[in-house]
Amino acid sequence: MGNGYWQRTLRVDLSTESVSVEPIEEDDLRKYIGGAALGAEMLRRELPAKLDAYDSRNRVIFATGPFQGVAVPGGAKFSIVGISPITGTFADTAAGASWGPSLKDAGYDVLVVQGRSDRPVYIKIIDDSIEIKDATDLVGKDSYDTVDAIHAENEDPKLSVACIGPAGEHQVAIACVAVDKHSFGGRCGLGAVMGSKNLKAVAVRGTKNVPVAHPERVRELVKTHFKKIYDTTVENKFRKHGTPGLCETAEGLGDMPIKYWEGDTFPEGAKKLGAPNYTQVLNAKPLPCKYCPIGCHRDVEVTSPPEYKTSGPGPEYETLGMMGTNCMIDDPKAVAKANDVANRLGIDTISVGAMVGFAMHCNEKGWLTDEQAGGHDLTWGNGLTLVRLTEEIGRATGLGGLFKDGTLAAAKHIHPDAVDAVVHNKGLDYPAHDPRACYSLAPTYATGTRGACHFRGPCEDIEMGGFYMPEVGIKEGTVRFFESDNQSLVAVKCQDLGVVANSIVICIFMIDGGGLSLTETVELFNAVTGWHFSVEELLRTGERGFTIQRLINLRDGFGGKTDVLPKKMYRSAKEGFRAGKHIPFDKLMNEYYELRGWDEGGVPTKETLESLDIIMGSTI
Amino acid sequence: MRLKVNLMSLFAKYSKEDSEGFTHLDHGRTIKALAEHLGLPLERVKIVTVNGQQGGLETLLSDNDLVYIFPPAIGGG
Repeated sequence: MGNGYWQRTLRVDLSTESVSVEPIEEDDLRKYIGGAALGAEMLRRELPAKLDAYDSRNRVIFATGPFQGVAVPGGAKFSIVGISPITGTFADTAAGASWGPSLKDAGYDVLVVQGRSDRPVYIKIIDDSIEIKDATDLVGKDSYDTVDAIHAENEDPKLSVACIGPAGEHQVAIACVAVDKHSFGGRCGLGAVMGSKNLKAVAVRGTKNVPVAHPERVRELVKTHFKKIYDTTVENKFRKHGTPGLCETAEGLGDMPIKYWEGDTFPEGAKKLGAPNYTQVLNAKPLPCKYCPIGCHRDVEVTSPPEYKTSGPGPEYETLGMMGTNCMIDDPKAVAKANDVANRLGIDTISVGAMVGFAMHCNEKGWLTDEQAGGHDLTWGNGLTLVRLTEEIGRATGLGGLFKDGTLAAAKHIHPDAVDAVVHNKGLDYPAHDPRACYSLAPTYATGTRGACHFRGPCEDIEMGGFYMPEVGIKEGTVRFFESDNQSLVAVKCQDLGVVANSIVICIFMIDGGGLSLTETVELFNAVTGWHFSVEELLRTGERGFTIQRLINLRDGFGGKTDVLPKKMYRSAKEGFRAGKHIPFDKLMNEYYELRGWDEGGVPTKETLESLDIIMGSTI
Repeated sequence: MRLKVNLMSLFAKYSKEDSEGFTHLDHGRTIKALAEHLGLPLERVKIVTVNGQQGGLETLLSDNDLVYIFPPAIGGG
């Protein structure tokens, strides 16, 4: 009887061009499931503290879970794990399209890449055939052309390709991993780590079927859940409008970033950027990942004006928030164009939006010299500047070159006061949700193991009515705006859920938006693995994975002193829904530490580690 | 009574404003009654503000109240 795993890690050392296959113990899978948690444990075991992200010993770990071998709705995902060049500590990022299932079909759960090649290469995996191929002809190609070139060279259009664009090649710290011209492992700069290894791409195709424990039961559940999620998202319009449907709600509740976190309201901007206007103006249609009943990604087309002409994957809510309202830009066409430029160059659209907004903020403050500004009109709301500066950031030229190592690094070169103005945690730019609106985000961001991240804990959607977790006591009314009760509980449970989702691996939108309950998720998990987990036990694996990630943070020099909010989060709004409100941060953090079983310094206690069955090794 | 009702985003199509931008409802009614009057799907009416304060289905409305009704946040994660 199978369990949804091959229990095989493929390891490629680019320094020695050696390839090996290693077993994965079932005990590790039961403890860490796969994806982001298993990847974190591998990093913890294999790497020393405070390793430079560009050290050849750093890993790029491509990790699947039990859901990649069967057509689970939302299961076409995988996690990428390594040390981030932005934060200098643990990072994971997830992408969709079809790469994760393809690695699984090739007969592996995990691919670990280490070392550094002395020439540009890409890895080609077809079942047991592993090749390290010359990529000299791919150098300089964008992330879309790279896919086409690999397909053409191999006469194999079914290869799924995870690659970097020019930004990754030049080690732009916010370089992403682009997958199949469709989905992007965006945050934390693991594309730059690939670039530092001279690794342009990993192309994979497989012909195998991983055995699962109860195939009939899996088929039955998949069919039922696929229909349920499809029907739910037709009804709630998530399928029709995707994440842009969130804009007006987020802005109206003070959750959307405005004017680099110093603005309070921008309703007309949110209306123009959001659905239904987005859908009409950009002629947007669903662009589903493999096995997805929702299709939240958008396929968009802009034919005019010529400067914004584009087609392909369109901006998500996060991008609309960071490139749009954050920069006071209300034209969805401008954001769509900048999004396309970023995707092709291979950079994280969230951080690009943060950088452009920050540049506009610095300009307003008079902190940028004319030489630094490089001739850009950095007036708020300038869409053309957004597009041009995105190009420069991706190519590390002009003003964009100042941001090569991240916003925080750029601020140090701009002005003494600029450093305190950066809105980040551990150096990672905030995404497009504001803790001043949804208080549970405050501890979530402050303790985010990869830096500030809403997606490793989608707690803001609980506050804004998007989904609940009744199995663990989180229901409608558990948290209310601007009240501290239960906010830290929601933060903890959502973080644990985030780790579970990125370890199984399943797109969290099946749960958050698609209506798949935790109970149904666990049923599916048990049918695939043949194990007998409860909801609580599965979330416990999330807690364990989160704690492993935290231990890596701690050994890399982060901890209680870095569990903080940036200065701008202490500024209360003068108008709008959150006018006059202040985050009760100390109270939230005290409760958070207590719930986590951490001491006053933010370190998990011995009892906490023992209860999670975490064994401390010599490296920590 | 006369209300200023802002139906946000995908709820906009349910609007029953008069030519001056007001929505009319009998006195002493709640958000739930307003939602039913507008034909909004009740199971999706989770985030409501009345005069800038968070409300709920049972919140009692008064003449000239300013009401915002938001679709739930989907895809924020």
